[in-house]
Amino acid sequence: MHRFKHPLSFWLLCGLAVCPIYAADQIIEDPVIELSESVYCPCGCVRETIRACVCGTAQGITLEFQTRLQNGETIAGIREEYLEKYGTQFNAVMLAQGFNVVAYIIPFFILIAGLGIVSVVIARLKRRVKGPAKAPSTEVDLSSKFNYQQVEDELERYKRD
Amino acid sequence: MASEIGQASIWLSAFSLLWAISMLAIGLRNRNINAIISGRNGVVATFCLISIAVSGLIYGFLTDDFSMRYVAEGSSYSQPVLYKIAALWGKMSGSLLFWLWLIALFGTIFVWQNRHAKDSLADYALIPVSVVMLFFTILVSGLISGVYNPLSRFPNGAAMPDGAGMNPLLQTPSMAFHPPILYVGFISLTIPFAFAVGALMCGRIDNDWIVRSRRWTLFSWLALTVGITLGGNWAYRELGWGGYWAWDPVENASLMPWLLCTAYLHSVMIQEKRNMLKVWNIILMVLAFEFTILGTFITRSGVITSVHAFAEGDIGVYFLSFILLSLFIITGLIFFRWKKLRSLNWLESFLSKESVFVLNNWLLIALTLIVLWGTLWPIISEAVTGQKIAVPEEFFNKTVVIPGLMLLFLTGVGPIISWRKLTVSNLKRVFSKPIIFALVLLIPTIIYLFLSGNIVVGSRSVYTVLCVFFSVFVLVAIADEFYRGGKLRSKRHEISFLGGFFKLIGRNKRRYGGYIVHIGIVIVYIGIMGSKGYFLLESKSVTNGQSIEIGKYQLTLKKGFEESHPNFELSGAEFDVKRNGKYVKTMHPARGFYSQAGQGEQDTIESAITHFGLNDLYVALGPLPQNASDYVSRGEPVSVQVYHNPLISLVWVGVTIMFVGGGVAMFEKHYKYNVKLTDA
Repeated sequence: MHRFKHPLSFWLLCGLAVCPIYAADQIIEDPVIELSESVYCPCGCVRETIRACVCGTAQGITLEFQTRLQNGETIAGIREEYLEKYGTQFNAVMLAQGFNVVAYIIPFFILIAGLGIVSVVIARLKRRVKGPAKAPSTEVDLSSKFNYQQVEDELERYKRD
Repeated sequence: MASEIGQASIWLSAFSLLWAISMLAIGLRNRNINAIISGRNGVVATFCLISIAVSGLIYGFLTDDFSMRYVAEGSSYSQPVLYKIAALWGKMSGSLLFWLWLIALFGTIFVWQNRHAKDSLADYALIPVSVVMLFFTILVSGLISGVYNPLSRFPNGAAMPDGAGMNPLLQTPSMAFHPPILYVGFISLTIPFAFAVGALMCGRIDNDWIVRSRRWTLFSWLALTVGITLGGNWAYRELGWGGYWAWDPVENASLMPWLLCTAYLHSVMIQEKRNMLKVWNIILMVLAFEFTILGTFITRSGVITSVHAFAEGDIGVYFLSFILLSLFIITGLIFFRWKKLRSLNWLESFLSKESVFVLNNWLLIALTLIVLWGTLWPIISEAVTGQKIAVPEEFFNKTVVIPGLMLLFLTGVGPIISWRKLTVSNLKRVFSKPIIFALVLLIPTIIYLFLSGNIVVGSRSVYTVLCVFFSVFVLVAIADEFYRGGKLRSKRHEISFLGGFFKLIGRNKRRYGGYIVHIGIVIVYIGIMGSKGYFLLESKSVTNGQSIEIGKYQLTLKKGFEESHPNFELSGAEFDVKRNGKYVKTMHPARGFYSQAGQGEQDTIESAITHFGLNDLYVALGPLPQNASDYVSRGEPVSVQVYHNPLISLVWVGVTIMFVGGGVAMFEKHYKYNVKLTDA
């Protein structure tokens, strides 16, 4: 009977392999789009960026952004001023900086800690099966036998036929 | 008069519930059947009383009784009848009354279903149902500051000349059905929760509570699935931003119980088949229920800003207290019954169906916690840094995609891996075909991405490749299961393959219904991948005759138009759509103008959506005056946003398939399971 000796390491490897996915997706070439996607519209539509919002306020702000960028102002400068004017809750970009690092770390922690707990639980449940009297491993639930065994038997019969 | 009768009914229902709880407790303690029956009747009487209150409120809406405060705030003379009725759950107090009415309805159905039960489990379960009802009765009775009785009148016999009317954004058919269906999903979870608590109370921690609550759990899951989707569909059609999911706190509040309910539906199978994870299943069910209350807390407490939230008074404190108190009591019950909750079987191998279900639970719980974390982050951040922040969509997209993709993979592994231990023969037999198919289909996907210029170094391409690989793997794995099973049936019964296929599903509706749900989930994943990962957006101001281009489509502004409706005026622009230079369609995006007594003039976005196969072309207009035809013909600019949403139709198709699969699974008959119905 084949056995996978280190399933936990297999899963950890999978986890590590997908980490580079967190790399930046694409570079936005249009500075107006970059800027208007980085702040929320203050018109009252909660959580719509200036670019996504179709209200008059958003239109006005987009025009203002265009003009200011043409005048040589930087994206960071305009953004900072915008957030000073309307409030930090209108920031649509949450960089992994300062206290926000915690926000990004915790989901990883949840995943990895959860995986750790699950591995421990599975290992404990598995270890018990090796114990002498405690483990009624040969005892098969009837319904399980019904669903699985029957299909297996039928498959065997089908192959024979 | 309707108002006064309704208010009296709410008060009487509080007494009726106290009576029901007392009689059930006394009856169960002293094994007095008359007291138990009296307790059951108390629940039915509560339903009748709450129905009177709800009828009184609906009567107030239909007769435009603007002396009733709730009616005056949520309706108006010009509001269509459908939305007058929908106004019942449009604001805080009415939605709580509606919530209470649904629990009372489900409680009554529960009493009727268990009227011939030969054991006391259902009666024990009726106690938590009644306690939850009592909590909501207190909330709507007007005792809590800031939340008024929805049937109360303005003081001193005052009446408004016309009502303020419902928010125009909510005056859409999908919004009339989305909240009640979502409520049904939330509230029907009370019954399986009550079964779990009832089982703990009476000490019968076998599989009985699971089997007897299964149909309720599936029903809740189905209602939540449909409710969440209708909400997404409403956002897509009405909000004008071309998307259906923005990780808004209230959306998250509905997603979290769904995730927990999904985890429960999987882990419960391990208990049934292998007598394991008893504590875990109780905890999952309790959490699923508590998250419905938490969702209500998020929506109504005002702690988090949301487009859906309607915060009033200090109701949040009561919800939080209820959650904490109930968790405290249930934790105590779990410790009290700890010995009975221990597993009777052990795992034989890490590579088995049991382990896959445990991993599936880990991922679903992790997703729930990540969503909760992101939802609560603004509060945490403000408490620490003093700065108000909003968590952008990007945060969730970054953090949930990886566990989401792993979950997709398990969606295929779960159905085909064997119970107890994966053998080499099982591995070869069931895994080789899906993996080969997935690898083969990966090549055209990569070629397509390359040729279409979509292949970029970064997350999107990796996600796409993984999503396509896992999706094909799952679809082939499940199709193979159906094929092999159907062929066996047709051979055994000497019928056609199709006949064998349906016989297979009919024989084990739960299992094959679940597989159908998995197919639906894969299709939803593909839809999300296309619509979230590859959408295009173009914003431009155009004048008459000018065009806006997006992908292979070209939209040309032809003219403006106006339309009159009973409760609003429509003012829009007509666009001719060409694909690769060839005319295909005319689209009519517009703005709706609502004039309501209490809210002044409000305008809404009436986006135009055209389906091209599985893809959508979505057009929303910026601000436009009410006389659009004059405005456009004068050569004034019209601001327009156009989205091209690839594969978005698959999201709706996938959910429909999930609904069908869930429906099939729901009709599994109880007697097929090995259940010993013994008395407590």
